[in-house]
Amino acid sequence: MKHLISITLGILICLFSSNTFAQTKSKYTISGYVNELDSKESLIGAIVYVPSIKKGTSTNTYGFYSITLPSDTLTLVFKNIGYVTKSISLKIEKDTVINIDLESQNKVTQEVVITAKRIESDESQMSKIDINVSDVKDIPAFLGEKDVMKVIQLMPGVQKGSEGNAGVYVRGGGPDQNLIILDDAPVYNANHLFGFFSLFNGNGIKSVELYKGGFPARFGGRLSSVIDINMKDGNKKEYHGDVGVGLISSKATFEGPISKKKPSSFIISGRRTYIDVLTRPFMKSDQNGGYFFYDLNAKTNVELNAKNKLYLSGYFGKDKFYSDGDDTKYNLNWGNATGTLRWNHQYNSKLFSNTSLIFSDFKFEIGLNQNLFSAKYYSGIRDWILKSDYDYALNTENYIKAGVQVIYHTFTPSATVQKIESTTKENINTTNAIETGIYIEDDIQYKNRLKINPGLRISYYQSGSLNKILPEPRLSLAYKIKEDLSSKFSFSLMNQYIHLLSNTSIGLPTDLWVPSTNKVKPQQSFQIATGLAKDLIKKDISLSIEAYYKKMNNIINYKEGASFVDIGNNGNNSISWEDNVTSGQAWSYGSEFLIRKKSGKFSGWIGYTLSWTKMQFDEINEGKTFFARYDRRNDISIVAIYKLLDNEKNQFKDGITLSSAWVYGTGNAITMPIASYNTSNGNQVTEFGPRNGFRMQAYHRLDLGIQFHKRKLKGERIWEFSIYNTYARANPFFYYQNNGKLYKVALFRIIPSLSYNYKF
Amino acid sequence: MKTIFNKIIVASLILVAICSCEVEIPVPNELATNSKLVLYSEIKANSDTVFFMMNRSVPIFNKNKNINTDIVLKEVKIINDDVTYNFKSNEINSYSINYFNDKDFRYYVVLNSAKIEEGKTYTLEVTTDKNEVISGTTTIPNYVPTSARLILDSTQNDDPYGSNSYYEYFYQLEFQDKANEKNYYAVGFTADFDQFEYNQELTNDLNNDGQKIYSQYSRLSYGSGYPISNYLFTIKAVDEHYYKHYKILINYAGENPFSEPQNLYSNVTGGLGCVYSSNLKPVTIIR
Repeated sequence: MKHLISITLGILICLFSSNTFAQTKSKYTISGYVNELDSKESLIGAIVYVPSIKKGTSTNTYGFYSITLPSDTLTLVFKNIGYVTKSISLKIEKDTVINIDLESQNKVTQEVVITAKRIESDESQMSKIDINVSDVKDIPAFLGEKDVMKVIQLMPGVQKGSEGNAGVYVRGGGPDQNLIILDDAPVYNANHLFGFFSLFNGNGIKSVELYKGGFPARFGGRLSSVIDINMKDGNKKEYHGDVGVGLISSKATFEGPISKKKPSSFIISGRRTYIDVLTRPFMKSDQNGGYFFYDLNAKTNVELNAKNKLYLSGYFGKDKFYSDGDDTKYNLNWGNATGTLRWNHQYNSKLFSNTSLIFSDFKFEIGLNQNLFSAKYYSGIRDWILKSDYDYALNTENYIKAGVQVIYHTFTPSATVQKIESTTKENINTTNAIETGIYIEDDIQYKNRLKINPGLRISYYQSGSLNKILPEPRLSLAYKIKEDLSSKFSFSLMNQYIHLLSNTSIGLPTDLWVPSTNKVKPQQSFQIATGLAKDLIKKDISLSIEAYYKKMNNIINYKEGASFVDIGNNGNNSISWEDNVTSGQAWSYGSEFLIRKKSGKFSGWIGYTLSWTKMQFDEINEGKTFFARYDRRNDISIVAIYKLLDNEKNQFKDGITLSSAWVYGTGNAITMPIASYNTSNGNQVTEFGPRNGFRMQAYHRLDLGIQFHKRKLKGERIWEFSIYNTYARANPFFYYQNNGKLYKVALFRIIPSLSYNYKF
Repeated sequence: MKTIFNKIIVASLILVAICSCEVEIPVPNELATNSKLVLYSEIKANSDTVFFMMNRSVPIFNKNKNINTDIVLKEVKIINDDVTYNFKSNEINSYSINYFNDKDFRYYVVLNSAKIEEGKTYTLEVTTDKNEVISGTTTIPNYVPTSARLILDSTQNDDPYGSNSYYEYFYQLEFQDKANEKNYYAVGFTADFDQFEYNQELTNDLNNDGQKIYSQYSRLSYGSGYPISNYLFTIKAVDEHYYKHYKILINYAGENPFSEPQNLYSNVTGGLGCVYSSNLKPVTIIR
């Protein structure tokens, strides 16, 4: 480990020193923050550009930018799509701090409107999609619940699991291979109600970025994607709120300044379903049971001085099924809790750091209570994380990011507690692991044509007697063929030390998080991708086409016939989860096409994916290769949003927003029973066809939505009516057979919904 | 307004329930399979008789509802390294076990003055009157432990829900493996409570070649109110096919949606089933 740190520090020093020597004294650094004018919310990814020398940079996650420019009189352009562009001319003769507030172009709502932040062909990064948070609010939603994960599912390269499910499958990877980060904290189970809703309440979200490949070195620990979600900071100038009532849930958000002396703000957002309350009148008087989920997001921040800021944010959510009879009570609960304390420090005009202390916990629990007997089964994972990230804007050609992260995992794959009268039997199986990552990456701009982002991440993992140090080289590059056309290439090697054992691959809470051990090796992936990005700048339309190949090793699966209920205490025969799993490999390859209009009255996109995903395990399907359950040959999504808005006064407007989304996907690959026969002892058993050798019918549906915006005395009310699956397609959720007949079960043929929102 | 809103909510929820549906769909051709022959046989060391069971699989989605499940045997061959025993239809004996399915056909053939030999490889090949051929090959285990140490513990507990006590038995067997060969064992525990109880546990020497083998520390409990009166431990040497077949069968989950679908292990050609072998000898139990 000492050698590892020495080598990395050596690389860092060489990079810093070589570039420092190259820098001349006739250059000065302009730095500062870019904020939204009305709320003072920092803007992520806003562009700072100097047209005369064709150099630029963008703001980081905290709205900070730094650019080193030659001594001259230059014009700096600050822009972000959805905001009025600002230009400043100044004579550069010393290091200068310039904080800029951008005014929203389209004051439809008071939210920070963040759309695509850069011109696609300008970025070295590929396989990255910025999710427009306002799209999340405009697109028709299932039961009126605005869900960022379901918008992500509409992007090429991303597939959903099954009807209504919020889980995402990125380029052939399973749901465990997505690093979902909420304000730096990893979220281990991002689903409510068995996956029908995600736990991200759209009201509190500021930005969402999806990386499908070409991962920057600052991200690690998962193979297939990074979904980086940042919560809003809260309005620093005025108090505002947002109340919404839907068919199955209600939510409320409140934000505002904390102190007038120091720039500071808070935001708190909560949501609760009331399915249990609505169904209660239909239940018998002696029955008491139901289901609900709730979640709560809260964040506060304070600017201690010009160089130091503190952020404290947290999420707490829980799903609960319960049934209370006279003698017996059952419950099934699961939930996440995360907390992040962040300290931003600006050392000087070039060096910016963020240090975070993070807590993340996921727990699933089944309980049974009787008079004399009670039993509880639970599983979960808890992380404590300390990380420190540094942004160093060395010069206009080099923007270096480096950092270190230490995670202390506590896994509880299974635990049982039984009580008979006063006697308690416990069988708690916990494992601890330490996962460390150290990284460096440099965004290099070479002669205005070539942009390269080389990076190296070195990860260290220790659990029991297992010690692993694995390097993860990364590379992204873009070559500008023309002003609005660039070709791109990326390569990334990823390691994942934690695994999700899943029977269903739909993100049920029964899925178990387990560590790498001597028997179960870390997962590893190697991905290359290449593509073209084209911008029709005047029309604000971007096109991209990418092809990728990904190979994954040491992925795990339950052995045939095994399930989570086999793990744990079986009489006195304790069965380890390691005995129930088998390791294998997977391949995914394909191409993705995306044409997207990001802003204006009419916006939307068309995405198409052609892909193949295959797997092979020595102990499954007789060792033969088979298609993954979520292998999808063709996947299409067409999304359109049209805004008819007028009568603007202050930040609110009257008008109508129309939206539609049509999706098509090849049917899921499933295993079907084909025959039955008797064994020698008379047991009737089933003969199954080839593993995932049968395709369900194709999936397609059309969703429509209409929003009526009305300006009120102190705010804006929005009525929204939407229809999920408008033409009532019976999309297969699962198949079953009965007496030789084949049936498909379709969950939601047509779901209208109505919701009411009031913003003030 | 409130009433209207409540009505809208209730109507929408009812609509959701109505909208979920199941629909019968045409069976795709790829699921419409044909019936297959099934053959099971446990060939026992030092026996002069080979028993086997046959039936036909019943396709779930076969459009022909009149599948003939009858089996008429034309010929049976027992083939080992040195000799082939041929049995014509009139030399094949059938028998029945009345509590098993009447579609299962049970047969035996008797080797004239010969016995199944330890260490030899046998193929059981069956031909039907329709000239369908199904066969499986197994090698008879030649090492069987003949002594074992028993760890046995029992507790008497009060049943909180009934008047009877219940007894729990914890047991483990320790026996010696033979080095330099792959060995598989089936450890059996037959207990005479007020009804017959039988536990079978499978183990092997893959990580303990030539060393002591320990069966799992297992538990058997019964709430009859009185203790065990009689029990019997067996250690049966089995071949790899027996081990693989029963390993799956013991934990067979069928169409349980929470388990990965799994076919039973098969080593036969020309159909489904398994031909495996065993070697059982008296074992001296030391406590």
